[in-house]
Amino acid sequence: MERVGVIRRYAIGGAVGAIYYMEPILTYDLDIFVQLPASSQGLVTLTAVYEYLRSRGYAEERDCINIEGVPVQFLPAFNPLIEEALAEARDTTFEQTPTRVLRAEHLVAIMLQTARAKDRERLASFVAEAVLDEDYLAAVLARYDLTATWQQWRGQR
Amino acid sequence: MNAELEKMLSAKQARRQRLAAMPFPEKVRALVRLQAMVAPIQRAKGRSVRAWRLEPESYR
Repeated sequence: MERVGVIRRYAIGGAVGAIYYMEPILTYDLDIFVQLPASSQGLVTLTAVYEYLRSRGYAEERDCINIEGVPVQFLPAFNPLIEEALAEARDTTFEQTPTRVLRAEHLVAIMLQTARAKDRERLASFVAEAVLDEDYLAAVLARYDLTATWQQWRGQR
Repeated sequence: MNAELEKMLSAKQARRQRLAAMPFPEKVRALVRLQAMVAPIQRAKGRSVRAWRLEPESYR
């Protein structure tokens, strides 16, 4: 999709992104963050992604698209933190297939920013198991005004 | 904390660190096995879930 211009850039995030750095945890969806080209009206929508995948025979399932047996949820980069996370995602391979995963430090920042109960729960295990670049993390948290949230979260533990 | 409990928690933490250090494809294989184990329970609770169907066979 990047090659044909349907999306500008993508990276794996969510639970599967977290699994890259920590022990496997249960999830049934694959979250893919995407940077989308702006439409002619300046709107950012997933329509082109869905149309492209439909044309290749993949069907929608609730808020996901089933791609080769995996329910994939596409999440547009909806704020500057996610835009940066996408820009700085790390290249890796899955078996022989090249792919990209968000950096561990950005996953921490996104979990703090999103702050659903499951994010806070996952954050505890993630921080205990993932290898984090503390300086890089501190800079990300400062840029997105999350330092106090991080300190508060750590203080509660 | 008594010594026995401390030993148990530290062994648990060491196991988690070992799992975290596994290669990504191996972790995904473990995830798919986990999904297959838990899916019947989730479905019994009314959630519509299923384990991923990934190739090759080793993922199943």
